[in-house]
Amino acid sequence: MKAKLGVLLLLLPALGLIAGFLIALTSVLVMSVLDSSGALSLESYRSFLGDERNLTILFQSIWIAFYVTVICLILGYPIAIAMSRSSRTVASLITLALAIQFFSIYVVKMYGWMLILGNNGVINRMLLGSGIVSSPVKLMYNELGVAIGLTAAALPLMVFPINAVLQTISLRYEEAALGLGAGRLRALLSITLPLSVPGILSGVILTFVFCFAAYLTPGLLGGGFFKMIGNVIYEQAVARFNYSFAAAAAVITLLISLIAIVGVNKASQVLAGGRQ
Amino acid sequence: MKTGATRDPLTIAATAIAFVTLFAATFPLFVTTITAFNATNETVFPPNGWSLRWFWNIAAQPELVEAAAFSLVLAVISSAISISLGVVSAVALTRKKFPGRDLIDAFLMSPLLVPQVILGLSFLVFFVRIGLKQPFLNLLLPHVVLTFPYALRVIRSSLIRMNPKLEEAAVGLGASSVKSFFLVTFPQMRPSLFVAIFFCFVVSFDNFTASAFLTVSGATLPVQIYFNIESSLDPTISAISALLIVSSAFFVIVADRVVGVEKIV
Repeated sequence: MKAKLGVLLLLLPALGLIAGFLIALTSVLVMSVLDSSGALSLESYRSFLGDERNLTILFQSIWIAFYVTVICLILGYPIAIAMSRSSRTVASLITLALAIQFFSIYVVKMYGWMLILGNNGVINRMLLGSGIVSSPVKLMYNELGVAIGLTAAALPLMVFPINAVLQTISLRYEEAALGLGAGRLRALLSITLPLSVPGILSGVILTFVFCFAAYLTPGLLGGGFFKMIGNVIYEQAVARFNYSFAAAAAVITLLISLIAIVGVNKASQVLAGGRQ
Repeated sequence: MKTGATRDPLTIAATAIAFVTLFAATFPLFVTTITAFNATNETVFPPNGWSLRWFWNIAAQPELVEAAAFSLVLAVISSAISISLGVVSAVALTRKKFPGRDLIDAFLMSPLLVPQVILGLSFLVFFVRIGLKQPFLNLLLPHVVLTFPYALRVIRSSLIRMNPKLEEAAVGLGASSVKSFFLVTFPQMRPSLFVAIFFCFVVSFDNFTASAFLTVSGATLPVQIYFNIESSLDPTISAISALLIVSSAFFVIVADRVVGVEKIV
């Protein structure tokens, strides 16, 4: 009894902290169902869902998060393979480069991409200088720029969980398959890939939620021409003090994130079931 | 085990993809750093001449210096709080068995599940409702909430790997449980504390999305840099960015030397 009381006492500060956060989160839920006079109403949801511009932004946020997640998986899986299978020197070089990129300040990373993709950026200066084009190609302040920025920012979120799982998978399974006459690609796809599904799942979920609710990347590389749902929430809350509307948009964002998390988990269970 | 796979053509192909992708992903950091040395106020790569004037110009922009100092203090204090809470909670969660332990664990990790835009808005709405408008406190609370789960996760996993028998042995030899914690357990925790400090500091210092909702006047450095990028693109931003890129790369390399880079990714 005394020991249990002690445990509770030790956990109390942390429990209080997170309870405070959940109260703050609840205040968003409450705010979303109040109108400007403070009465209970679904007005904010109606005005969010009733405006076609918001729906367009919502759908393009889901779409860009979806395809950036796919790109990150296609680029990230080989990186994780290289991290877990290359010689020690090469593997730690790759890990170090990825860690340096990951731990750089987010806003600085996106600024770097502006210097590459802008009208006076590295790519356009090269294209103009070599005479391939006569006027700058639009690489940012549009969907393309946001997609490039999100891919760069989210890539480590995909690689790290996959790498963590690959490190635990013994290569002996693949070697057994090779011994039985499978090709290398076949051995990778039918042995290692299914075993690494837990890592892929965490990577996909982290990447999708990060991209879907992004605010900084579309803010800088979309430049107001390509908006995502995060920009709508920020503008409404901070610039227009329209907390109720922002709260409704936030609740919808949170719901879609949760549906995506549950959906990805369910889909993987169905896939795993189908194989057995 | 590894050496057999190294010469496998698939591993070579994967390594080639990794090098190309990581070159593209780190190239902007290189470009940013170099553009800080431009001679004129055009932020271009390759630079149209060399100078250090934009680094001196950082000092001439008080809002950048103030934001940097503010972010530094915020990161140090929020990390210190998160690490203390993390140690205490991790000990409670690993050393004692009690009903609902996994539930409490999940509860304490829950801030990581919520997108930062929503976390930022939550605290904004909450502070507006209770009428608390205090630039430092308004950021400290969300930063502790954001960094605490990382501290807990890192410290907790190191405690799980430790042998509790060692602490019991110390108690058996006559040490008090507090004394045995500090003499036996704490020294073994040092690498994980290093990792936890690293994570908490970076998560707080780097945070943009949640902080942007809560800075009206006292801006953090990332938020201030964002505002500066939106208003102008002179190379001063490259100069401060270059300092940040070099220092975070330095800390990653130090972390690699101290605990190994695979511990922080």
